[in-house]
Amino acid sequence: MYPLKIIILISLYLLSSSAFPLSETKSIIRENIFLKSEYSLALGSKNYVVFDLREKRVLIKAKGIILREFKINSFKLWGYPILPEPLTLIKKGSIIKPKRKKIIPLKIDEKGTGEFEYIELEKMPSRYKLKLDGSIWVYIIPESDNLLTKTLNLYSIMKSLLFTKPIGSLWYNIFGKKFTQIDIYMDKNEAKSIFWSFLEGYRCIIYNYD
Amino acid sequence: MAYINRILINTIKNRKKFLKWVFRILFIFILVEGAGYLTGLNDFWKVDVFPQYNPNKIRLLKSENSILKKKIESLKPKGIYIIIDTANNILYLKENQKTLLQATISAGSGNILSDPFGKREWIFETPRGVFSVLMKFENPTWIKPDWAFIEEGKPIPTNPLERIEEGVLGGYAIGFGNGYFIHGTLYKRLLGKNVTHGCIRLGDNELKMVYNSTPIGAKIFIF
Repeated sequence: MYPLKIIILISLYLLSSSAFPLSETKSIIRENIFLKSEYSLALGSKNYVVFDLREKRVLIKAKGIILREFKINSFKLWGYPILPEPLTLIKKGSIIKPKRKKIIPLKIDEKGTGEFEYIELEKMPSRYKLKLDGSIWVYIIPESDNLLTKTLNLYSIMKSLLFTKPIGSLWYNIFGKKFTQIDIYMDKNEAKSIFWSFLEGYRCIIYNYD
Repeated sequence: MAYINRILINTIKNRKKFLKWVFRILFIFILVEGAGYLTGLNDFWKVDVFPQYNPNKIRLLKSENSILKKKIESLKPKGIYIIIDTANNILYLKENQKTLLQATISAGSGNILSDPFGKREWIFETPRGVFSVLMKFENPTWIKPDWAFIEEGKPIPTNPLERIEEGVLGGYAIGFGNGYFIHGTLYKRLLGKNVTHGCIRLGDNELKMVYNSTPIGAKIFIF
């Protein structure tokens, strides 16, 4: 009876260990953290953003439903691995910021010109950075379609390789913080839409592959 | 000749000094870059960020995941709901996954108005987030708020009756809180542009359909 017990125990052990190989275990844990995070955000009444790097898409969501979906053409990850936990957008940074127009009230008996000035999607930047809590930086870079964007993209790559990635890693490590940089390449208009929809103070989840 | 020689020697000496400094800076730069890349790569290959679970716990997590999926699914709106895309000025009337109507709207301009006689300031932006239909009116009357008078350069009336303006909000108005409404407009040529004071303007036929289809309590998602 004794050897039979050992065989049963060994086979049980092998079955239990082979049921979930390491990669599957990781993805189950990652999915669990993601679903818990999404559920906590979906309970609220604010929109939230999901950077789904596995499916190469950015989702604007609320209450679990997808309000808008944007395609990521490609992305690059650098630094500390990110868990799919809720993060807050602390700051949006761009060279040219869209400015609100101040309305000058009409004087008595003055008639308006009938012209309207307003903030519109077209005025949003397509190249910007998003500072998330936990020292995570997301750089949105438009796909190059002309000489100017090609030059700017080359500048972005050089800046990233020579400055932001190494210096950022070193700087944050000196202060005992974790540094992560994600470069996301996408369509110019979709980048503008994300700038419009993703407001400072909003929360997001970065769902990465294993 | 001696003078030229001196200048040449000085230039070579200075150049040597300059090159020395260039090499020093380059060395420090490469050192910092190398240290940066090493720390970055060290972070990148970190695998211990995941909590450790035993196989039995993994099974539990798997079943917990399906429960969480169901919980998220349960938060999704049932029946009719509205999605408003303020960036592209589009309203979607939806029933579950099906789109019943897609209409061009006008959303908030994002402009700022300051009260020249006080400390008040208004930002004419459509609020974003999840809202509900709170009230519905047929043939609504606009009770002009203070900003409307300030913007037009008119004195703010003391008599409330002077605030009433008929016929400017179209045939219907759907209120979703804090004085924001989905309503009609006299300025149909501006549909598709961000020109409003925060409300959502809609064309007559589309407004009628949205009004008739949307019950009180229906969800409105604005992004």
